[in-house]
Amino acid sequence: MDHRRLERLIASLHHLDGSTSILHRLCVVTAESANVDGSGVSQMIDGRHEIVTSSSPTAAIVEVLQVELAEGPCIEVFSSCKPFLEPDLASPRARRRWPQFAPQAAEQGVAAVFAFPLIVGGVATAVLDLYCGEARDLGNDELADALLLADLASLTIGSEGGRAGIDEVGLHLEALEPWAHGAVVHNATGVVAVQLNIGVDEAVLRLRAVAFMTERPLAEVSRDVVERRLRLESWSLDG
Amino acid sequence: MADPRDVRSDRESRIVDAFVRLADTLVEDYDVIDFLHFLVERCVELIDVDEAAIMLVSPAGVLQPVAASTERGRLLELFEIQNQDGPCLDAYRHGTTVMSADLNDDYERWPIFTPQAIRVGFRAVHSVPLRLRSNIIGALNLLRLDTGELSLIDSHLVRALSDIATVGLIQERTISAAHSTQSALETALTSRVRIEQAKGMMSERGAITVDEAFGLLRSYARSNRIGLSVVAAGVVNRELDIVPRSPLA
Repeated sequence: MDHRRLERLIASLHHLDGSTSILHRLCVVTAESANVDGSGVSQMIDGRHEIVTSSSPTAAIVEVLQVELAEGPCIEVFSSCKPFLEPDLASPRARRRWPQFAPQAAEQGVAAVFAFPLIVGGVATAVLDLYCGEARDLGNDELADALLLADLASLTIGSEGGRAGIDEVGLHLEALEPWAHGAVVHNATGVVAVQLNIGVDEAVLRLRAVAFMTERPLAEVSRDVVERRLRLESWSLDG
Repeated sequence: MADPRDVRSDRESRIVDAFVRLADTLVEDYDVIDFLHFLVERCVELIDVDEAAIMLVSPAGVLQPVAASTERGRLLELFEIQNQDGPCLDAYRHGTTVMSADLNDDYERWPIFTPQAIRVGFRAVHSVPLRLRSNIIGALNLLRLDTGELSLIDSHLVRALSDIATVGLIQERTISAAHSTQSALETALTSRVRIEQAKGMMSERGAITVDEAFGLLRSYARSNRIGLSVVAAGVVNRELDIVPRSPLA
């Protein structure tokens, strides 16, 4: 994995106004980095399909359309657990597949939709949607960013929820000295490097990503890793 | 008949031996972390204290334990929390020796450090700044399980050992041909990071605790006569695999 990509995306997340939820900020970063017009997350809870958040009012409307009509790429993703990319909602293929959603989304100015599963425990429990006003495919970089952001989003969905504030998670991207961390963070870095068969530079970045996305202090996440209460193996960051 | 001048006390001869060995270490191409470990171990052996650690300050002003007499995670934490309050932080900030002969009297002085230290069994502390010209580069931290002050002789010995630690750090700079003291500190601090990462890697590979991993790291370094920093770097770079794989892994 290109860990600079992860570092860049986390930096973008970190630099956004911290007053909104992590998932909302993630949608904003997704829209920016993939050069699309909007992004949203919907979740399946006890068989009910609900909107979680979106980057813009228009994105929220299109999310509602998918939920209300039970049509659209995110519905496909929930059942297949795989990304669904529709570069042209006006195509006969898309119209046939989603007779209601395709035209109504087009009315909102959406021409292409890309949906990515947020997998927790092997199941797509939520979906990250990207909405584009222009009929086109995602570029390789945009696709890689979207996959990585979907993985980050799944961490938030899968976590018990935040306790620490954003400032406490130790995710200061500005020239962080490696030796500013306590020993436990370095121990956890070593554990993760072996578990995932990656270098220590990338391992510490993943730990920081987990801390950030689950809104927990880095030292606490690290302790869980060292004491084997948390394994990062299940987290597939293959951007 | 033995010359009375040769009849030194056992302690005296051990002190002389320690200084000779420390000096020997400094003339060769040496590993600064090994040197500092040797030093903290001599502290515990020669002075009436139970644990000792060398803390160095990072360029951003964070105090880090780089060598401790016992490498236990809980003990390292006790040194780390002194970035909030504690005798090391005071010694570092004020450049003076800081002590508490009875921590029970010092809850207000160090509201974070004191309860934590008492919880893990310590009753008295002694911290000496490591001074390099006008700069303070860290502190030597000594902990006792019993209350009480250090004797005058022990205090002098602590000063001498802390000066030796500083000399060792300057020497490291010369050997690595670095241009500033800062680089010498960074070398020591970075070596420490590598050791902690290596502990984590070995603990995962061998299904052992990080404390056990340090024991293996150390005995490998000793039996192969390689510096601890070099062994740790080898583990982190995956050039060395010194953990017997666990049957379950």
